[in-house]
Amino acid sequence: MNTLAGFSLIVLLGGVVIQILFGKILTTRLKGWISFIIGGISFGGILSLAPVIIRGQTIKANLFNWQAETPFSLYFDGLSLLFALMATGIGSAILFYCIDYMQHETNTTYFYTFMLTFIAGLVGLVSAHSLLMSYLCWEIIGLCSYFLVGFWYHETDAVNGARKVLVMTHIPGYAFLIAILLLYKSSGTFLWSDPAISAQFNTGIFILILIAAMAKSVMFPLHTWIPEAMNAPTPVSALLHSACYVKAGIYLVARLYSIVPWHPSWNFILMAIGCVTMIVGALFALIQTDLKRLLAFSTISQLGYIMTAFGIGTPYGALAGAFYVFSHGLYKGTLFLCSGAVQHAAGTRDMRRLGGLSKYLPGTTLVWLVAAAAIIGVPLTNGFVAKWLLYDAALESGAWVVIIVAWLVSTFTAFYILKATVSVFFGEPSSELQIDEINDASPLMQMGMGILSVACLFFGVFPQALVRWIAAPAITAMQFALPEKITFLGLRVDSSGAPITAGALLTISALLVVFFIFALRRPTPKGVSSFTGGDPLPEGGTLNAVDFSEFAEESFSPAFRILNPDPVYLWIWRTVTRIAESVKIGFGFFENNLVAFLIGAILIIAALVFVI
Amino acid sequence: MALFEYTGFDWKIALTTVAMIIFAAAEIYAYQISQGKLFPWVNLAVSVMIIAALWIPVEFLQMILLDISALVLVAWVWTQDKKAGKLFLTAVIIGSVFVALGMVIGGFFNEQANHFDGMRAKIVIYLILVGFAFKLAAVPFSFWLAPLSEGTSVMTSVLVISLLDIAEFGELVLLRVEAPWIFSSAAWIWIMLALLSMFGGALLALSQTNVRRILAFSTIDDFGYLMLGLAAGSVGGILGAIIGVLSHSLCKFLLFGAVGIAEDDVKHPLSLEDRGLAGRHPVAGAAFITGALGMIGIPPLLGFLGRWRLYFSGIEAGGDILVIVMAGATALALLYYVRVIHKVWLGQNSGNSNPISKRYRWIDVTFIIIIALLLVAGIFPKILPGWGGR
Repeated sequence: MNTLAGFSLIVLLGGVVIQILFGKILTTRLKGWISFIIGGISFGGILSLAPVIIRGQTIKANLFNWQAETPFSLYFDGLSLLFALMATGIGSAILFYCIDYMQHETNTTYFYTFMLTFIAGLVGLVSAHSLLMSYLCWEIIGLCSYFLVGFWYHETDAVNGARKVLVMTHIPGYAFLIAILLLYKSSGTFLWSDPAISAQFNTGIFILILIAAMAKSVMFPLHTWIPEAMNAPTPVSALLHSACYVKAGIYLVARLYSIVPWHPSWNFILMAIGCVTMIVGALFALIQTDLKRLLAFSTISQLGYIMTAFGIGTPYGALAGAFYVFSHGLYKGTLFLCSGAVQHAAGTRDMRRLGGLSKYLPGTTLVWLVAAAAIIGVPLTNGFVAKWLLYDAALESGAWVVIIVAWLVSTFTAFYILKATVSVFFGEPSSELQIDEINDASPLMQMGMGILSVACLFFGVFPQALVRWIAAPAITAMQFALPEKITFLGLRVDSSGAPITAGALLTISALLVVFFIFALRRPTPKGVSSFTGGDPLPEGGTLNAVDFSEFAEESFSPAFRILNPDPVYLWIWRTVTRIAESVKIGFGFFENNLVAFLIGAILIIAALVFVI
Repeated sequence: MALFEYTGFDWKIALTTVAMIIFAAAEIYAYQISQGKLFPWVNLAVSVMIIAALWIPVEFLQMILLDISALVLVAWVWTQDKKAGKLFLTAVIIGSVFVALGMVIGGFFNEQANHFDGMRAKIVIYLILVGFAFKLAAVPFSFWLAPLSEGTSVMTSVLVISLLDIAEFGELVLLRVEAPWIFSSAAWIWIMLALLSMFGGALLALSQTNVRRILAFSTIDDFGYLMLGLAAGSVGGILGAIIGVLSHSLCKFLLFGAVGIAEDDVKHPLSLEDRGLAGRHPVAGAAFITGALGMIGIPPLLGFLGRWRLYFSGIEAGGDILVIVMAGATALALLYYVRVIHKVWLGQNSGNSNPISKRYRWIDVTFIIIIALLLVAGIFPKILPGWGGR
């Protein structure tokens, strides 16, 4: 079994080599098929490890000696399995979708090389035994996202987005490296499973790692890069949001449970960050008119949920987090692929220019509706169970603030997803759309997104499958014991009590509130292409996504000012450049008086050496 | 103790390999884009002398050979830009005299590098410190590097930075192992000089608009890290400095080489006003990006193997604060490189954006080989003979 540990990684990297070596002679579609098959094989490789890991064992293997003190060693446990399955499984579905989606693009060798490296990077990260190797993979996925977001490198918007990704995630990444080196200095090892690491772990190290994780997992205030990354090809956005990038930070935080017992203050910090992020993401999602940007802000909000769940620090919290992280990957991947299909068909993702697409994109609409239902937590979808588990965990641990925030944000989620759904797929088509040219996504693309949406339904109806085979091993790896059984339809039958019922009720009630408001304030059907969010309509007026966004923007305008950290970053940048300019002026002065300056410098150093 | 015994890294083999790569790459480059009639001979002479200096066991002869190489390069620079030549000559003379005096007083040529106390030790430390600061363009003696980079052909800059400076730095590394007291007795001064170079170089690079000047200041910035590794003096620090300097050498070839191609096309010095050149020169764009990322030490490039050790040596030498300061300097480096990448190479080209596919074919091949080497060496350092280290 140990020999299989590195199989997926080697297959993925083999795929990279194939793309590089044969990129010039392969057709675009063939490159897509090869990438998909490589992704599928690596998924199979990870699946083959599952039986052993589900039994509670770990799999270790040394791939090769990287550096003298740091072998390239792998360590697969339940937590690795969860994230590796997500990366390779969802990644493969996305690669399948790419076969048709990318067929008219040029430079696809570049694209598939980085897509496969991206997936390999996450598999490497979650299976790394050495912390230094974790950092290596951490930065590899960072670079992949940079190059993929900047795939259309002739377009200024795309490269600006890529720049922001690089700067805002790489710089906080140094916190992770510093934490690793501080641990190495005090413990003498890079292997995270070594008890010496646990013994030397402290709050400072936790904070450093958290900073890095926050940047990758778009936690407030380090989240502002992700909406700017939306000018990438849609499969890249899907991979970035669902499986490979933003989940890296979540993994890192979850892994800390395996390494060290948590101090209660750490739980508090994580929950606080998670709750604020939840709200910020949802509020900003409300005011978006660009479909992908809306989904990007929704990722921020959803990751806030996941971080909060892991922050609770109880077995239920960990279970909720593990369930949520996988579920989010499925439905967010689906939503992004649908948005790509919409853009592909309509030529825009601006919701002000869309509407009524359900008639022309029936397949995409159906898939979207399933994923939309999942993200807002409609029963019989995985999203419902994820939210339910989160409420359960919060109720059980008495985290009332989490319950209130999560409930409130659930209503926001329902609002913005309904807004997007109605704006894009229902109502009258926008006059700007060239209806005759709109065709539904190709069968391959529909299959790619369809597989993910079916999984959303499957794990909604049979959540115990996800719990038993994927989430339970993960929380065992996090040093938690599986608390209860989850059985058919997500209803727990071997335990009773108010919290369980209340958890489910909270999830449903958030939806009911939104639907109730929607029913009461239903916009006039004639000429209406957008849900207003309850704002009364002028007689005969036509609504679109802008009306809703303006309404939300007006309602929450002070919050938007306070919760946008970009002006702070801009101030830092300006200050640094001002200092740099001052240094330049000073240097110019010295250059003009070089002899005096050199004599002065030599004398000062002499004074330092001889006198002090 | 010999460097190899101390670090497990064969400096001679590694630098010889890199020097030969740079020599060959510069020859190919000059074959496609003229660097001056005599350049191939200058390149040959300097490379041979530097490699010979590595393998000659007599320390005095090593220094003489390096100084002759420096003077050959001074003469070569002079023919291209008199002002740059004068400044370079000043640095070479002062640096060489100071270092030579330090070596003589310290008894290094007689293999009697004992640990002196008192005034004699201070004199040796002072001379060595100032001498190498001049030679390596450390702040505050970095006056010569930017004019040289700006006023000469790109491969001349590469010879100075990627060959001569690297070899000079190697001398300093050997001194660090053979006479550690030079560093440990004045560790804080070395660290201060390193930090000054780091931040001074980074801030000056950030304030420039001429890309060659940015690259020159980035060299100064990077030498700050390398000096810090030596100041720490641990195996990790020295190994980090050695790997870092080799990576520096290859990355600087990519950076200057890419700039040279762009300048050959646009017919003016490259500045932040230029836009979207990767569209016309995709391989050169990739080379510049790789070189920049390699300089910052982003994995999986070779530079990372040096950089993490340098951070570690920062922790050893100055604790948590120093390593955070180092990370801050790296963030600045990221900002200035990203600025060039995103203004000059990526984005929309204001003029003709059709790729030039064949004009620089052999240079492109050279770039690709060096990029691959940086990647392979970063992931599989042990497959390179003598590159394993501790």
